[in-house]
Amino acid sequence: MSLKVRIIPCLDVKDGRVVKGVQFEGLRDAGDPVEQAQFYDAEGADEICFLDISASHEGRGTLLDVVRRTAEVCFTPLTVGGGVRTTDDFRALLLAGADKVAINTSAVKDPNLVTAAARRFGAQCVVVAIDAKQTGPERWEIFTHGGRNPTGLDALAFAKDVVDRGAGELLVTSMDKDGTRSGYDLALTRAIADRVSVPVIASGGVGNLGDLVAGITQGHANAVLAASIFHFRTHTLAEARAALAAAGAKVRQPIQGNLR
Amino acid sequence: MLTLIDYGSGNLRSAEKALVAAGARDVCVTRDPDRIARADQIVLPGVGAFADCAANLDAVDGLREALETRVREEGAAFLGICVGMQLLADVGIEFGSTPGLGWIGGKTSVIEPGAAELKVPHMGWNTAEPTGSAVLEKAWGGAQDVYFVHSFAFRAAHAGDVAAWCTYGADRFAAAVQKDNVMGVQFHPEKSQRAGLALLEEWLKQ
Repeated sequence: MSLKVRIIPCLDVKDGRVVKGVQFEGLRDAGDPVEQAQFYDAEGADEICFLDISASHEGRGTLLDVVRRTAEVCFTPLTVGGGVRTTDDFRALLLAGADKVAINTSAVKDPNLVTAAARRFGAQCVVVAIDAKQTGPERWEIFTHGGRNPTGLDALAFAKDVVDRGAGELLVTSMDKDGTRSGYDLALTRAIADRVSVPVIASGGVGNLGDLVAGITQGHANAVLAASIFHFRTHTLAEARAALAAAGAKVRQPIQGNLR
Repeated sequence: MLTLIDYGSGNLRSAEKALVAAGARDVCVTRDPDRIARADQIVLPGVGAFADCAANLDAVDGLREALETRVREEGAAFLGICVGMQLLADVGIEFGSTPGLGWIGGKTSVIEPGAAELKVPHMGWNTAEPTGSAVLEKAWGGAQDVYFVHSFAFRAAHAGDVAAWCTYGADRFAAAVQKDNVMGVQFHPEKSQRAGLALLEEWLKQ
Protein backbone atom coordinates (compact mmCIF):
# COMPACT_ATOMS: atom_id res chain seq x y z
CA MET A 1 0.00 0.00 0.00
CA SER A 2 2.70 2.42 -0.91
CA LEU A 3 4.38 3.90 -3.92
CA LYS A 4 6.49 1.29 -5.70
CA VAL A 5 9.96 1.68 -7.13
CA ARG A 6 9.84 1.63 -10.91
CA ILE A 7 11.78 -0.61 -13.26
CA ILE A 8 12.20 1.08 -16.62
CA PRO A 9 13.59 -0.64 -19.71
CA CYS A 10 15.14 1.96 -21.97
CA LEU A 11 15.21 1.68 -25.72
CA ASP A 12 17.88 3.74 -27.43
CA VAL A 13 16.51 4.45 -30.87
CA LYS A 14 18.14 5.60 -34.07
CA ASP A 15 16.40 5.84 -37.44
CA GLY A 16 13.38 4.03 -36.03
CA ARG A 17 15.37 1.03 -34.81
CA VAL A 18 16.54 0.06 -31.33
CA VAL A 19 20.28 0.24 -30.79
CA LYS A 20 22.44 -0.20 -27.75
CA GLY A 21 25.23 2.25 -27.26
CA VAL A 22 28.46 1.43 -25.53
CA GLN A 23 29.23 4.84 -24.05
CA PHE A 24 27.16 6.08 -26.98
CA GLU A 25 29.59 4.66 -29.54
CA GLY A 26 29.67 1.34 -31.45
CA LEU A 27 25.95 0.97 -31.98
CA ARG A 28 24.32 -2.42 -32.33
CA ASP A 29 20.90 -2.97 -33.88
CA ALA A 30 18.59 -4.76 -31.49
CA GLY A 31 15.20 -4.59 -33.14
CA ASP A 32 11.97 -2.75 -33.72
CA PRO A 33 11.08 -0.30 -30.93
CA VAL A 34 7.33 -0.88 -31.09
CA GLU A 35 7.72 -4.64 -30.86
CA GLN A 36 10.20 -4.29 -28.01
CA ALA A 37 7.90 -1.91 -26.17
CA GLN A 38 5.02 -4.35 -26.53
CA PHE A 39 7.20 -7.09 -25.18
CA TYR A 40 8.12 -5.03 -22.11
CA ASP A 41 4.50 -3.94 -21.69
CA ALA A 42 3.46 -7.60 -21.56
CA GLU A 43 6.24 -8.34 -19.08
CA GLY A 44 4.88 -5.61 -16.81
CA ALA A 45 7.41 -2.82 -17.22
CA ASP A 46 6.50 0.02 -14.86
CA GLU A 47 7.36 2.55 -17.55
CA ILE A 48 9.11 2.45 -20.91
CA CYS A 49 11.67 4.99 -22.07
CA PHE A 50 12.62 5.85 -25.66
CA LEU A 51 15.73 7.92 -26.15
CA ASP A 52 16.52 9.05 -29.65
CA ILE A 53 20.28 9.07 -29.25
CA SER A 54 21.03 10.48 -32.66
CA ALA A 55 18.54 13.31 -32.64
CA SER A 56 20.36 16.09 -30.88
CA HIS A 57 23.57 15.87 -32.85
CA GLU A 58 22.12 15.11 -36.24
CA GLY A 59 19.38 17.63 -35.95
CA ARG A 60 16.72 15.07 -36.67
CA GLY A 61 13.16 15.34 -35.53
CA THR A 62 11.83 13.19 -32.73
CA LEU A 63 10.22 9.81 -32.88
CA LEU A 64 6.66 10.84 -33.46
CA ASP A 65 5.74 7.89 -35.61
CA VAL A 66 7.31 5.32 -33.27
CA VAL A 67 5.59 6.97 -30.31
CA ARG A 68 2.24 6.98 -32.08
CA ARG A 69 2.45 3.32 -33.00
CA THR A 70 3.60 2.40 -29.51
CA ALA A 71 0.75 4.29 -27.83
CA GLU A 72 -1.72 2.31 -29.93
CA VAL A 73 -0.66 -1.00 -28.47
CA CYS A 74 0.98 -0.24 -25.09
CA PHE A 75 -0.93 1.00 -22.07
CA THR A 76 2.22 1.72 -20.12
CA PRO A 77 3.63 5.14 -19.23
CA LEU A 78 6.06 6.28 -21.90
CA THR A 79 8.92 8.75 -21.57
CA VAL A 80 10.48 10.03 -24.80
CA GLY A 81 13.60 12.09 -25.26
CA GLY A 82 16.01 13.18 -27.94
CA GLY A 83 16.14 16.32 -30.03
CA VAL A 84 13.40 18.18 -28.15
CA ARG A 85 13.99 21.92 -28.49
CA THR A 86 10.71 23.76 -28.11
CA THR A 87 7.42 23.55 -26.23
CA ASP A 88 5.85 22.65 -29.58
CA ASP A 89 8.14 19.59 -29.70
CA PHE A 90 6.80 18.70 -26.23
CA ARG A 91 3.24 19.11 -27.40
CA ALA A 92 3.73 16.97 -30.50
CA LEU A 93 5.23 14.11 -28.45
CA LEU A 94 2.54 14.32 -25.76
CA LEU A 95 -0.22 14.31 -28.36
CA ALA A 96 1.40 11.34 -30.10
CA GLY A 97 1.09 9.40 -26.83
CA ALA A 98 4.16 10.18 -24.71
CA ASP A 99 3.44 10.84 -21.04
CA LYS A 100 6.73 12.50 -20.23
CA VAL A 101 9.33 14.22 -22.34
CA ALA A 102 13.03 14.17 -21.49
CA ILE A 103 15.32 17.03 -22.43
CA ASN A 104 19.07 17.23 -22.05
CA THR A 105 20.99 19.47 -24.45
CA SER A 106 18.06 21.90 -24.69
CA ALA A 107 17.78 22.26 -20.91
CA VAL A 108 21.42 23.34 -20.80
CA LYS A 109 21.24 25.67 -23.79
CA ASP A 110 17.90 27.17 -22.85
CA PRO A 111 16.91 26.63 -19.20
CA ASN A 112 13.79 28.71 -19.85
CA LEU A 113 12.46 25.77 -21.87
CA VAL A 114 12.09 23.84 -18.60
CA THR A 115 10.05 26.67 -17.10
CA ALA A 116 7.95 27.16 -20.21
CA ALA A 117 7.20 23.45 -20.66
CA ALA A 118 6.31 22.98 -16.98
CA ARG A 119 3.97 25.95 -17.13
CA ARG A 120 2.30 24.78 -20.34
CA PHE A 121 2.07 21.03 -19.76
CA GLY A 122 2.67 20.57 -16.03
CA ALA A 123 5.86 19.70 -14.16
CA GLN A 124 4.85 16.03 -14.16
CA CYS A 125 5.76 15.60 -17.83
CA VAL A 126 9.06 17.49 -17.81
CA VAL A 127 12.01 15.15 -17.29
CA VAL A 128 15.48 16.64 -17.36
CA ALA A 129 18.13 14.13 -18.41
CA ILE A 130 21.38 14.87 -16.63
CA ASP A 131 24.43 13.33 -18.33
CA ALA A 132 27.39 13.80 -15.99
CA LYS A 133 31.05 12.84 -15.71
CA GLN A 134 33.03 12.86 -12.50
CA THR A 135 35.66 15.60 -12.41
CA GLY A 136 36.72 15.36 -8.75
CA PRO A 137 35.67 14.04 -5.36
CA GLU A 138 31.89 14.62 -5.05
CA ARG A 139 32.06 16.72 -8.21
CA TRP A 140 30.47 15.99 -11.57
CA GLU A 141 30.16 18.02 -14.76
CA ILE A 142 27.19 18.17 -17.13
CA PHE A 143 27.76 16.93 -20.69
CA THR A 144 25.47 17.39 -23.68
CA HIS A 145 25.07 16.03 -27.22
CA GLY A 146 25.10 12.38 -26.19
CA GLY A 147 27.96 12.90 -23.78
CA ARG A 148 30.37 14.55 -26.22
CA ASN A 149 30.31 18.18 -25.16
CA PRO A 150 31.47 19.39 -21.74
CA THR A 151 29.59 22.41 -20.41
CA GLY A 152 31.55 23.45 -17.33
CA LEU A 153 28.30 23.19 -15.35
CA ASP A 154 28.31 21.53 -11.95
CA ALA A 155 25.82 18.64 -12.02
CA LEU A 156 24.50 19.11 -8.49
CA ALA A 157 23.89 22.83 -8.92
CA PHE A 158 22.32 22.21 -12.33
CA ALA A 159 20.01 19.54 -10.87
CA LYS A 160 18.73 21.96 -8.22
CA ASP A 161 18.32 24.72 -10.77
CA VAL A 162 16.19 22.70 -13.20
CA VAL A 163 13.98 21.46 -10.37
CA ASP A 164 13.47 25.06 -9.24
CA ARG A 165 12.52 25.83 -12.83
CA GLY A 166 9.84 23.16 -12.85
CA ALA A 167 11.36 19.80 -13.82
CA GLY A 168 9.15 17.03 -12.42
CA GLU A 169 11.75 14.29 -12.59
CA LEU A 170 15.48 13.83 -13.22
CA LEU A 171 17.03 11.06 -15.30
CA VAL A 172 20.59 10.84 -14.01
CA THR A 173 23.09 9.10 -16.29
CA SER A 174 26.76 8.68 -15.47
CA MET A 175 28.81 9.08 -18.64
CA ASP A 176 31.68 7.30 -16.87
CA LYS A 177 29.54 4.26 -16.23
CA ASP A 178 27.25 4.12 -19.24
CA GLY A 179 27.84 0.95 -21.22
CA THR A 180 30.42 -0.43 -18.80
CA ARG A 181 28.08 -2.88 -17.01
CA SER A 182 29.89 -2.05 -13.78
CA GLY A 183 26.91 -0.49 -12.00
CA TYR A 184 25.43 3.00 -11.59
CA ASP A 185 27.53 5.87 -10.28
CA LEU A 186 25.87 5.54 -6.88
CA ALA A 187 27.58 8.59 -5.37
CA LEU A 188 26.31 10.79 -8.21
CA THR A 189 22.80 9.35 -8.05
CA ARG A 190 22.62 9.73 -4.28
CA ALA A 191 24.09 13.23 -4.27
CA ILE A 192 21.35 14.38 -6.65
CA ALA A 193 18.49 12.32 -5.16
CA ASP A 194 19.21 13.65 -1.67
CA ARG A 195 19.26 17.26 -2.89
CA VAL A 196 16.06 17.47 -4.92
CA SER A 197 12.37 17.17 -4.06
CA VAL A 198 11.38 15.36 -7.27
CA PRO A 199 11.82 11.70 -8.25
CA VAL A 200 15.18 10.55 -9.63
CA ILE A 201 15.77 7.76 -12.16
CA ALA A 202 19.17 6.06 -11.94
CA SER A 203 20.72 5.31 -15.33
CA GLY A 204 23.94 4.14 -16.95
CA GLY A 205 26.05 1.10 -16.24
CA VAL A 206 23.75 -1.71 -15.13
CA GLY A 207 25.40 -5.11 -15.54
CA ASN A 208 23.49 -7.26 -13.08
CA LEU A 209 20.48 -7.31 -10.76
CA GLY A 210 22.57 -6.18 -7.81
CA ASP A 211 23.21 -2.92 -9.66
CA LEU A 212 19.47 -2.24 -9.85
CA VAL A 213 19.09 -2.94 -6.12
CA ALA A 214 22.03 -0.64 -5.29
CA GLY A 215 20.46 2.15 -7.35
CA ILE A 216 17.54 2.16 -4.92
CA THR A 217 19.16 1.23 -1.63
CA GLN A 218 22.45 3.13 -2.04
CA GLY A 219 21.68 5.58 -4.84
CA HIS A 220 18.36 6.61 -3.23
CA ALA A 221 16.73 6.63 -6.67
CA ASN A 222 12.97 6.23 -7.10
CA ALA A 223 13.30 4.31 -10.34
CA VAL A 224 15.95 2.24 -12.08
CA LEU A 225 16.56 2.32 -15.80
CA ALA A 226 18.48 -0.29 -17.77
CA ALA A 227 18.85 -1.29 -21.38
CA SER A 228 21.14 -4.14 -22.36
CA ILE A 229 20.48 -6.52 -19.45
CA PHE A 230 16.83 -6.56 -20.54
CA HIS A 231 17.36 -6.35 -24.31
CA PHE A 232 19.76 -9.26 -24.44
CA ARG A 233 17.70 -11.24 -21.94
CA THR A 234 20.49 -11.42 -19.39
CA HIS A 235 17.63 -10.89 -16.95
CA THR A 236 13.87 -10.58 -17.20
CA LEU A 237 11.79 -7.86 -15.57
CA ALA A 238 10.36 -10.51 -13.25
CA GLU A 239 13.87 -11.34 -12.06
CA ALA A 240 14.55 -7.65 -11.51
CA ARG A 241 11.35 -7.29 -9.49
CA ALA A 242 12.24 -10.33 -7.40
CA ALA A 243 15.74 -9.02 -6.67
CA LEU A 244 14.41 -5.63 -5.60
CA ALA A 245 11.70 -7.21 -3.45
CA ALA A 246 14.25 -9.48 -1.78
CA ALA A 247 16.25 -6.37 -0.87
CA GLY A 248 13.19 -4.86 0.80
CA ALA A 249 12.10 -2.47 -1.97
CA LYS A 250 8.39 -2.15 -2.70
CA VAL A 251 7.72 -3.45 -6.19
CA ARG A 252 4.57 -3.91 -8.21
CA GLN A 253 3.30 -7.35 -9.10
CA PRO A 254 1.82 -6.91 -12.57
CA ILE A 255 -1.42 -8.71 -13.25
CA GLN A 256 -0.99 -11.89 -15.24
CA GLY A 257 -3.95 -13.05 -17.27
CA ASN A 258 -7.42 -11.57 -16.98
CA LEU A 259 -8.69 -9.87 -13.86
CA ARG A 260 -12.24 -10.95 -14.44
CA MET B 1 -22.22 7.22 -28.25
CA LEU B 2 -19.12 7.91 -26.18
CA THR B 3 -17.67 11.38 -26.31
CA LEU B 4 -14.08 12.11 -25.41
CA ILE B 5 -13.65 15.81 -24.86
CA ASP B 6 -10.87 17.38 -26.88
CA TYR B 7 -9.92 20.58 -25.09
CA GLY B 8 -6.17 20.38 -25.65
CA SER B 9 -5.24 17.78 -23.05
CA GLY B 10 -2.02 15.90 -23.72
CA ASN B 11 -3.38 12.45 -22.86
CA LEU B 12 -6.23 12.63 -25.39
CA ARG B 13 -4.86 10.05 -27.81
CA SER B 14 -3.80 7.58 -25.12
CA ALA B 15 -7.24 7.86 -23.54
CA GLU B 16 -8.90 7.23 -26.91
CA LYS B 17 -6.79 4.16 -27.64
CA ALA B 18 -7.43 2.74 -24.17
CA LEU B 19 -11.20 3.27 -24.44
CA VAL B 20 -11.21 1.45 -27.77
CA ALA B 21 -9.09 -1.37 -26.31
CA ALA B 22 -11.56 -1.57 -23.39
CA GLY B 23 -14.43 -2.13 -25.82
CA ALA B 24 -15.79 1.30 -26.73
CA ARG B 25 -17.27 0.93 -30.23
CA ASP B 26 -17.90 4.50 -31.20
CA VAL B 27 -15.54 7.07 -29.67
CA CYS B 28 -16.26 10.61 -30.80
CA VAL B 29 -13.36 12.94 -30.05
CA THR B 30 -14.85 16.40 -30.04
CA ARG B 31 -15.25 19.77 -28.41
CA ASP B 32 -18.54 20.47 -30.17
CA PRO B 33 -21.24 21.26 -27.56
CA ASP B 34 -23.92 19.89 -29.90
CA ARG B 35 -22.24 16.48 -29.98
CA ILE B 36 -21.77 16.53 -26.21
CA ALA B 37 -25.44 17.33 -25.78
CA ARG B 38 -26.25 13.95 -27.40
CA ALA B 39 -23.55 11.81 -25.76
CA ASP B 40 -24.50 8.85 -23.55
CA GLN B 41 -21.05 8.62 -22.00
CA ILE B 42 -18.58 11.45 -21.59
CA VAL B 43 -14.89 11.20 -20.76
CA LEU B 44 -12.87 14.27 -19.73
CA PRO B 45 -9.12 13.64 -19.83
CA GLY B 46 -6.65 16.11 -18.37
CA VAL B 47 -3.00 16.54 -17.51
CA GLY B 48 -1.06 19.55 -16.35
CA ALA B 49 -2.21 22.42 -14.20
CA PHE B 50 -5.75 22.81 -12.85
CA ALA B 51 -6.02 26.47 -13.87
CA ASP B 52 -4.86 25.76 -17.46
CA CYS B 53 -7.30 22.89 -17.86
CA ALA B 54 -10.16 24.98 -16.43
CA ALA B 55 -9.24 27.83 -18.78
CA ASN B 56 -9.09 25.45 -21.77
CA LEU B 57 -12.53 24.13 -20.85
CA ASP B 58 -13.91 27.66 -20.66
CA ALA B 59 -12.19 28.63 -23.93
CA VAL B 60 -14.67 26.45 -25.86
CA ASP B 61 -17.93 28.37 -26.25
CA GLY B 62 -20.87 26.52 -24.70
CA LEU B 63 -18.83 23.51 -23.54
CA ARG B 64 -19.36 23.99 -19.81
CA GLU B 65 -23.07 24.61 -20.34
CA ALA B 66 -23.42 21.51 -22.53
CA LEU B 67 -21.69 19.41 -19.87
CA GLU B 68 -23.84 20.85 -17.09
CA THR B 69 -27.02 20.04 -19.00
CA ARG B 70 -26.07 16.63 -20.30
CA VAL B 71 -24.40 15.27 -17.15
CA ARG B 72 -26.09 17.08 -14.28
CA GLU B 73 -29.63 17.38 -15.61
CA GLU B 74 -29.94 14.52 -18.06
CA GLY B 75 -27.72 12.01 -16.27
CA ALA B 76 -25.17 10.99 -18.92
CA ALA B 77 -22.35 8.89 -17.46
CA PHE B 78 -19.24 11.00 -16.86
CA LEU B 79 -15.65 9.97 -16.22
CA GLY B 80 -12.90 12.47 -15.42
CA ILE B 81 -9.27 11.35 -15.58
CA CYS B 82 -6.47 12.94 -13.52
CA VAL B 83 -7.00 16.72 -13.83
CA GLY B 84 -10.30 15.82 -15.51
CA MET B 85 -11.24 14.35 -12.13
CA GLN B 86 -9.87 17.27 -10.15
CA LEU B 87 -12.02 19.65 -12.21
CA LEU B 88 -15.05 18.05 -10.53
CA ALA B 89 -14.10 19.90 -7.32
CA ASP B 90 -15.52 23.24 -6.22
CA VAL B 91 -12.13 24.87 -6.41
CA GLY B 92 -8.52 24.09 -7.37
CA ILE B 93 -5.80 25.51 -5.17
CA GLU B 94 -2.79 25.44 -7.50
CA PHE B 95 -0.94 28.65 -8.45
CA GLY B 96 -3.88 30.60 -7.05
CA SER B 97 -7.48 29.60 -6.67
CA THR B 98 -9.57 28.51 -9.68
CA PRO B 99 -13.22 27.46 -9.68
CA GLY B 100 -13.92 23.91 -10.88
CA LEU B 101 -17.17 22.32 -12.06
CA GLY B 102 -18.32 21.88 -8.46
CA TRP B 103 -20.08 18.57 -9.16
CA ILE B 104 -18.41 16.78 -6.26
CA GLY B 105 -17.80 18.86 -3.15
CA GLY B 106 -14.19 19.51 -2.29
CA LYS B 107 -11.01 21.22 -3.34
CA THR B 108 -7.57 20.26 -4.57
CA SER B 109 -4.39 20.95 -2.68
CA VAL B 110 -0.75 19.91 -2.86
CA ILE B 111 0.25 16.40 -1.79
CA GLU B 112 2.10 16.34 1.54
CA PRO B 113 3.69 12.94 2.15
CA GLY B 114 5.60 14.37 5.11
CA ALA B 115 9.11 13.01 4.50
CA ALA B 116 11.92 14.37 2.33
CA GLU B 117 12.58 11.00 0.67
CA LEU B 118 8.94 10.81 -0.46
CA LYS B 119 9.10 12.87 -3.62
CA VAL B 120 6.49 15.10 -5.22
CA PRO B 121 5.16 14.66 -7.91
CA HIS B 122 3.63 11.41 -6.62
CA MET B 123 4.85 9.47 -9.63
CA GLY B 124 4.47 5.77 -10.31
CA TRP B 125 2.41 2.77 -9.29
CA ASN B 126 0.54 2.95 -6.01
CA THR B 127 -2.42 1.07 -4.59
CA ALA B 128 -5.99 2.23 -5.09
CA GLU B 129 -8.21 0.82 -2.33
CA PRO B 130 -11.90 0.81 -3.30
CA THR B 131 -14.50 1.67 -0.68
CA GLY B 132 -17.40 -0.22 -2.21
CA SER B 133 -17.97 1.26 -5.68
CA ALA B 134 -19.78 -1.28 -7.84
CA VAL B 135 -17.73 -0.39 -10.93
CA LEU B 136 -14.41 -0.82 -9.11
CA GLU B 137 -15.61 -4.00 -7.42
CA LYS B 138 -16.60 -5.55 -10.73
CA ALA B 139 -13.39 -4.38 -12.40
CA TRP B 140 -10.92 -5.39 -9.73
CA GLY B 141 -12.55 -7.31 -6.89
CA GLY B 142 -10.19 -5.57 -4.46
CA ALA B 143 -7.25 -3.17 -4.31
CA GLN B 144 -5.09 -2.67 -7.40
CA ASP B 145 -1.82 -0.96 -8.22
CA VAL B 146 -2.39 1.76 -10.79
CA TYR B 147 -0.28 4.55 -12.30
CA PHE B 148 -0.35 8.01 -10.73
CA VAL B 149 1.45 11.17 -11.73
CA HIS B 150 0.33 14.33 -9.93
CA SER B 151 1.38 16.93 -7.38
CA PHE B 152 -2.11 17.96 -6.25
CA ALA B 153 -4.89 15.80 -4.87
CA PHE B 154 -8.66 15.95 -4.54
CA ARG B 155 -9.82 16.61 -0.98
CA ALA B 156 -13.46 15.53 -0.99
CA ALA B 157 -15.79 17.43 1.35
CA HIS B 158 -17.77 14.22 1.95
CA ALA B 159 -15.86 10.98 2.55
CA GLY B 160 -18.85 9.15 1.06
CA ASP B 161 -17.94 10.53 -2.37
CA VAL B 162 -14.53 8.83 -2.27
CA ALA B 163 -14.71 5.58 -4.26
CA ALA B 164 -11.09 4.58 -3.62
CA TRP B 165 -8.27 5.86 -1.44
CA CYS B 166 -4.57 6.11 -2.07
CA THR B 167 -1.95 6.47 0.67
CA TYR B 168 1.41 8.18 0.15
CA GLY B 169 3.45 8.57 3.29
CA ALA B 170 1.46 10.71 5.71
CA ASP B 171 -1.01 11.77 3.04
CA ARG B 172 -4.19 9.97 2.03
CA PHE B 173 -6.24 11.22 -0.86
CA ALA B 174 -8.94 10.16 -3.28
CA ALA B 175 -7.75 7.73 -5.95
CA ALA B 176 -11.33 7.82 -7.26
CA VAL B 177 -14.49 9.77 -6.53
CA GLN B 178 -18.02 8.85 -7.46
CA LYS B 179 -21.42 10.46 -7.03
CA ASP B 180 -24.42 9.18 -8.94
CA ASN B 181 -23.54 9.23 -12.66
CA VAL B 182 -20.29 11.16 -12.14
CA MET B 183 -16.98 9.38 -11.60
CA GLY B 184 -13.41 10.60 -11.49
CA VAL B 185 -10.08 8.80 -11.18
CA GLN B 186 -6.83 10.44 -10.11
CA PHE B 187 -4.72 7.69 -11.65
CA HIS B 188 -4.35 7.09 -15.38
CA PRO B 189 -6.42 4.06 -16.45
CA GLU B 190 -5.05 4.57 -19.97
CA LYS B 191 -1.56 3.92 -18.58
CA SER B 192 -2.32 1.30 -15.93
CA GLN B 193 -2.09 -1.77 -18.14
CA ARG B 194 -4.68 -4.47 -17.33
CA ALA B 195 -5.99 -2.83 -14.17
CA GLY B 196 -6.72 0.36 -16.09
CA LEU B 197 -8.37 -1.35 -19.04
CA ALA B 198 -10.49 -3.47 -16.68
CA LEU B 199 -11.82 -0.32 -15.01
CA LEU B 200 -12.61 1.34 -18.35
CA GLU B 201 -14.34 -1.81 -19.54
CA GLU B 202 -16.62 -1.94 -16.49
CA TRP B 203 -17.30 1.78 -16.62
CA LEU B 204 -18.28 1.47 -20.30
CA LYS B 205 -20.61 -1.45 -19.52
CA GLN B 206 -22.54 0.16 -16.67
